[in-house]
Amino acid sequence: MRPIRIALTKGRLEKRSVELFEAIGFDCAQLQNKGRRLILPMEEYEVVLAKANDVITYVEHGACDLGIVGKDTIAEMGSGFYEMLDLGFGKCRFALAGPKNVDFYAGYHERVVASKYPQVARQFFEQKGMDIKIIKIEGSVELAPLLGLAHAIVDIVETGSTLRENGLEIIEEILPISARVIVNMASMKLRREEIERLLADMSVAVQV
Amino acid sequence: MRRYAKITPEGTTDYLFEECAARETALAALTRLFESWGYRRIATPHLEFYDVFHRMSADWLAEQLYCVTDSSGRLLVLRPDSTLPIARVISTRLQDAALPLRLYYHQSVFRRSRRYAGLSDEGLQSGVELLGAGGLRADLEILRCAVDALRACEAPRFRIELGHAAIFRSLADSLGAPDELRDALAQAIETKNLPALTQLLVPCSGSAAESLRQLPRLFGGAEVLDQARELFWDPAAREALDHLTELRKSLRILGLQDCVDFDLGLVHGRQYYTGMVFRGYIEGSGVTVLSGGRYDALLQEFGRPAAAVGFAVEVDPLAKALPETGAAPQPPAAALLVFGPAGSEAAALRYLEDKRAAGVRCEFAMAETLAEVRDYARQHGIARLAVVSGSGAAEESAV
Repeated sequence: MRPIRIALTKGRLEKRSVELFEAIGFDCAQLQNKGRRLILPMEEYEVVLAKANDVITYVEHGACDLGIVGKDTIAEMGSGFYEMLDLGFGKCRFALAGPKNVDFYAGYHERVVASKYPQVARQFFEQKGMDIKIIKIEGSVELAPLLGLAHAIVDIVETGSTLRENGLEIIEEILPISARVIVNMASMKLRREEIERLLADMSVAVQV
Repeated sequence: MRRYAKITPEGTTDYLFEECAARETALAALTRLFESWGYRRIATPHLEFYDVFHRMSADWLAEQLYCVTDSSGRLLVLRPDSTLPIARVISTRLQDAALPLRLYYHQSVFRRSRRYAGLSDEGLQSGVELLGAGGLRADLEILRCAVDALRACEAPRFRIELGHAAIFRSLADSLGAPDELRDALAQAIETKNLPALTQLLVPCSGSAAESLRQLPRLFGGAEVLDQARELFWDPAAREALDHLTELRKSLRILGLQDCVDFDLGLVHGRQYYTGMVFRGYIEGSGVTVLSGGRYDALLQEFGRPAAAVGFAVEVDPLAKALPETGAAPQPPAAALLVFGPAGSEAAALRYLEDKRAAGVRCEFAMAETLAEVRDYARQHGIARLAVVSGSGAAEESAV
């Protein structure tokens, strides 16, 4: 049988994920000096580094058994997998933000919201029973209200300094975000002992 | 519209040669299995009225359905599920048939999936429904049959997980959860999302809330039933637990205890389930390949109250898991190529007919000249050639 395969999100969560495995006592030398290889051995496991959206895709299809990915990506991509651990790092939040001192909810005019996360934005306004126009933006979403393209944005907010520097403020918090461990449903059932052991190790290490 | 003339819609595919053969092998194995249990084949239309699927107990989201309208403007859907159409048949054309009825089907279901997720929108399912039978006997027959359906694909490892729909339902009832909270709880439990579940249950207290909080953890071997017994105080939840314990006992007698696990957090998206619910997984496939359960309240919605239980398997993952030797072999090359030069086409076809009736595997040559016909025979490994004249006289020789 192939080794249990773990997908890690590149970038923001990568360093903390590797630290987590080191705290468990795994030898992460290969993860530190990865070179150009895409599949890296770590103890009896195989580790794959991927973009956040791809971590979800790999896990959903069972190409990887488990993955570490931000709640932001899970909220946007939906969930056909188990979301078993909150690792507590990579903390930030989804928020609705707009120009300072403007009441977003005032009046009946059509509202335009720009976001890198159209699903999250859509769900948020659906719950409110509000009809809005969503525009998907790939880069710096803060630009959209500044350029008059949108009335507000739905985006990840860490410290809020980018918002402040651009004359924006949080209108409403939407969802807290942190790194999560997700597990393929079939893997969880077919390789329960191995995966539960790994999850137990991770949840202990995260509490230290 | 010409732009899309050369591709299939997203989530659909063509099946060629050995792909069809593997499907046929899987279907044949399942047919043998179902018929050996006394199930009878039925087929329902691909198109159904939307109302068949728009039910209190099993609501499909609009974005999951393929909808069209008929010539009167009535809303139709490509069936996303076969159980509801079968419930319709039981209450209409089969309303006088004596129960219990055992039915099986091989038919595609259509569900819209997320774009670019690499998921299928059209999936061939085989399934059985045992209608008009409640209780342990029927549950055992269906579980036994489900295990055999997964065995039919000879996957090296497979697992059925067994839960009970009444566990979540009764706990959520005694919590008095409004619909929105109920949906959120179901979603959190289904995805084993403990942080979200804990968050949702913050304002709730009491033993039902505590039981719900533990549900995602309650999966594994028979020991989870004992753990749950310590936890659950709700009478309906305890009753469900008793039933699972009973099933566990019987499964041990049947020698199935090693391929069936328990997952009390199995809520199951289709809300029509009332009793045991289960899913199946095979090694090498990351998706759920089998899914089923008991739905005792559904048939009465169609006007014929009766207990029922059943399951469906996804044929394609099963067919992919088949060992290569299990797939049907390619048909062998023809033994004789029959050529009728211009003017003797009909005579040649008649000659071929006689040969075919005598059991010779023949192919009718399509080329115009004898040289081309010989080349064709060589390329396709056809050993003998017959050239037929207008009078019907044939000259047969080795190529």
